[in-house]
Amino acid sequence: MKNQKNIIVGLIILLFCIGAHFVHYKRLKSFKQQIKLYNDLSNANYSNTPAEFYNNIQVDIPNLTATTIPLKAMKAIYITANEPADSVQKAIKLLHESRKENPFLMYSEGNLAQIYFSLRQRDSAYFYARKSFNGLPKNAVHYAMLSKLFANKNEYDSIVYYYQKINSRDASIGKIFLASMNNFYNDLDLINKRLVLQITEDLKFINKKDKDLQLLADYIIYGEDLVEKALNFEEKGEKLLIQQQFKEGIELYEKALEIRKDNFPYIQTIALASFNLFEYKSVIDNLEKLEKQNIALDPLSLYIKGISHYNLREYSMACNYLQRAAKFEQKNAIEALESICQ
Amino acid sequence: MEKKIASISYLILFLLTGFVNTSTVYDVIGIQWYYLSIINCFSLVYFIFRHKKLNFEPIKFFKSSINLFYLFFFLTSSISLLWAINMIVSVDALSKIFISLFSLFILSQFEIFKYITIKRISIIFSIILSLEVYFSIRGYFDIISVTDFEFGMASKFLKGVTGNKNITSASIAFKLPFLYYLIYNSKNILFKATLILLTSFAYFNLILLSSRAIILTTFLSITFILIANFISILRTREPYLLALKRIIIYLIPIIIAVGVAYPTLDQSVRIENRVESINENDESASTRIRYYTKGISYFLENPLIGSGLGNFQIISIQLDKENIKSYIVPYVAHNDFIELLTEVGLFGTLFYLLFVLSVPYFLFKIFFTTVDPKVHLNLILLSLPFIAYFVDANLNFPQYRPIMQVSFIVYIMIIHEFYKSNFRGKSLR
Repeated sequence: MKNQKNIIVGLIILLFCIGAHFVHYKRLKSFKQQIKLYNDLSNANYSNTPAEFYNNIQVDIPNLTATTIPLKAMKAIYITANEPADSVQKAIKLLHESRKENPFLMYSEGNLAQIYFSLRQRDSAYFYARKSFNGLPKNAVHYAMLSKLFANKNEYDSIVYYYQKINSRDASIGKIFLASMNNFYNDLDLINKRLVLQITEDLKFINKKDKDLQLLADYIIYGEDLVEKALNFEEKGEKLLIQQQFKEGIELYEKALEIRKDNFPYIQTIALASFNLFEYKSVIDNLEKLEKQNIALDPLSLYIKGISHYNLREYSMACNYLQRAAKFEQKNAIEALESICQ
Repeated sequence: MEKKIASISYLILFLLTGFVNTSTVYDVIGIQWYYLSIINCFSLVYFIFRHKKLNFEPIKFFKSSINLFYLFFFLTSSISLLWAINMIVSVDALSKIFISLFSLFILSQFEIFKYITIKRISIIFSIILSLEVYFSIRGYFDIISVTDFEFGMASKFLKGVTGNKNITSASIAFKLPFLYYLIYNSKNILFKATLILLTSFAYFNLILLSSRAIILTTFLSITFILIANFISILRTREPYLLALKRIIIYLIPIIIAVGVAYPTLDQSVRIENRVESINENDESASTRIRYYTKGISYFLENPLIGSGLGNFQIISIQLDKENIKSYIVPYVAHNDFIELLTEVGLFGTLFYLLFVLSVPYFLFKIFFTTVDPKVHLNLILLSLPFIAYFVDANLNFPQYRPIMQVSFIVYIMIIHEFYKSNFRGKSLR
C-alpha cells in the first residue's frame, strides 16, 4: 500500500516534470532560431529569408526573445520584408497581438507606425509613433518616425520640441535631428533657428569623431554653399596628396579648414602630410590641436608625433609617444622604440 | 551498491552541467536547463521503476527545512502567475525554479551523503574547478605566445566553458574553498603541495579575469578567515600558532598568484586599478545602482504583488525608459533578491531568502555550539562558498545561471548534512 502511494506520488511528480521539460525543450528550440533572428536584427536585414524559416518561428513558448522583443512582432517584420503587399494585414494582426506580450518595449508600436505610414494611414501612424516615442523616448527609430510624420504635416518646430524633450546626446538620434534640420532649417522661426544652432553646436562639440554628424552639423552652422566649397577643397586636396604633392594638398586642406573650423580629419590629414614634408614642428602643432580638444590620437598619429619629437631632439616626448603607439601593436613604433628608446 | 553507483553518477552528471555547451543556441543556458531537465526526468523514471530497491519515498523530501523553504518559494512564485504582466515569461521562469526544486527532490531521494563524504564531494568540485581553470587560462597562454596580455582580452579569450568571464570567475571563486578543504584535510605533503599549486593557478586565473565582484569576494573571504580564526581560538582554546599556520596556508596561493602576476601583467589587470575603476563615472556601477533603486522603489509601491516571476525584464523597461537607448533593456537587476522583490513580492522573496540564509544559520549554530577545533576549521572553510555566492547574488544574477545553481544546491545540501551530522553527534567525514 505504501509502495503504491509512493509510485502514485512519483507519477504525479513525473507529470510536472514532463510539463517543465516541454517548456525547456521549446526554449531550446527558440534559442536555436534566435541566432538568426539576432543576426538579422543587428544587420537590420530581414529580406531574402525563406518562408519556411519565418513561418516556423516559435511565438507561443517563449513568446519573447532573450532581449524581450515579442517573437510575433519579429515574425511580422519577416512577413512585411518577404511577402507581397497584400500580406501586410497578416503582419499588422501579429503586431497588434504582440503588443500585450511586452507592453513597454514599444517594438510592435514602432513597427505599426512604420507600416501605417507606408499604407498612408497617417492618423494611425501618428498614434503609434507618439505611443512608441512616449514609451521609449531615447530610441532613434521612434524619434525618426515621429520626425517624419511632423515633417509631413509641416510641423517643423515639433521636431525641435521633441528633440529637446529627449535631452539626448546620443549620436544616432542627433544625426536624425540634424538631417531633418538640414531640410527644414530655413522654414523655422527665428527663435527655433537660434535653438537649433545651439543644439547643433553642442552636438558637434560632443561627437567630435563622428564624421557624418560633423558634416550634418557644419551644413547648419556654416551653410550649404560654404560646406560644399570646403568639400570641394578637400576632394582636390586628397587627389594631390595621393599624387604626393604634399605642399599643394596641405594648402587646399587649410582652405577647407578655414571654412569647417576644428575639423578633426582635416587637421589630422595636414599633420600626416606635413610629416611627409619633414615639417616636424607643423606635425606636432597640428596634432596638439587635436589633443587640446581631448581627441585621442590614433596609433599612426602617435607614431608620427613620436618621430617628429625625436627629430626635434625632444627625446623624452618622443619615447612617450612611441611607447603609446607601440601599445596598439603599431609595427613601426615598436621598431622605433627599440632602436631609439633602449 | 546500485543506489550508491546511481547517486554518485547523478551527482557527477548534475555538477557537470556547466560543461554542456553548444554554439547553435543564442544563450547557452537554454541547453543547460534542458540537460538538467533530462537527467532529472530520467532519474525519476529510474526511481519509479526501481522503487523497492532504491527505497523511493517522496515523503523524505519534506523532512528537510531547506527543501520546504524552496518548495514554498516555488509555490509563492507560482501564485505570481495570476498577475504576471506576461504569463508565458513567468511559466518559463517557473520551469527553471522547478528544475532546482526537482533536483533537491532527486538528491534527497538518492540520500547522497550516505554514500559520499564531504571530502569526496570536494574532490569532485576540485576536479571540475581544475577543468574550468584549464579552459579559461589556456587562452592566456595562447595570447602570451603572440603578444602581451591586456585586461580587455580576458572577456574574449579567457571566458572558459561558461562563455562569460564573470560567470567563470564566480564559478571558480565558489569552488575554490573545496580545494582548501582538501589542502587542510590531507596528510600527504606532496598532495598538499600539488593542491596549493592548483589553488595558486586558480587565483592567477581570477587575477587575469579581474572581475570586481571576485576582488570583493576575496577581500571578504580573507577578512572572514582572520576574524573567524580569532573567534575560534577564543572558543576552542587552541594554540594560536596553529590558527596562524592555517591563515598562512590560506594566504600562500594568493601570495604566489599575486607574486607571479604583478611583475608580468599590464597595469590594467592590477587589482588596485580594478578597484579604482569603481567610481561615480563607472557606467557598470552607476547602472547597477540605478536598477537597485528603481527595483526597490517598485517593490515599495507593490510590496505583496510584484510584476510576476521572470517579469523584471519587462517592468524594468517602464522603470528605466528614460535611460534605454535602442531596444537594449535591463534584462536582469544584477541583484537576485531585489529582482525577486519586484517579481514575486515580499513572501516569495522571504522564502527564497530563508533558503539561502539557512546556510549561515546552520554554520553559525554549529560554530557556537561546538568547541572541536577540527569542526571549526571545516566550518570556516565551508562558509567561504557562501560568501562567494552571496556577493554574486547581490551584484550579478546566479539564479539565472545553471552552473551556479547546481553548485549552490549541492553546497546547501552539504551544509545541511554537516549540520545534521553535528547535531546527531557524528563526526564530520
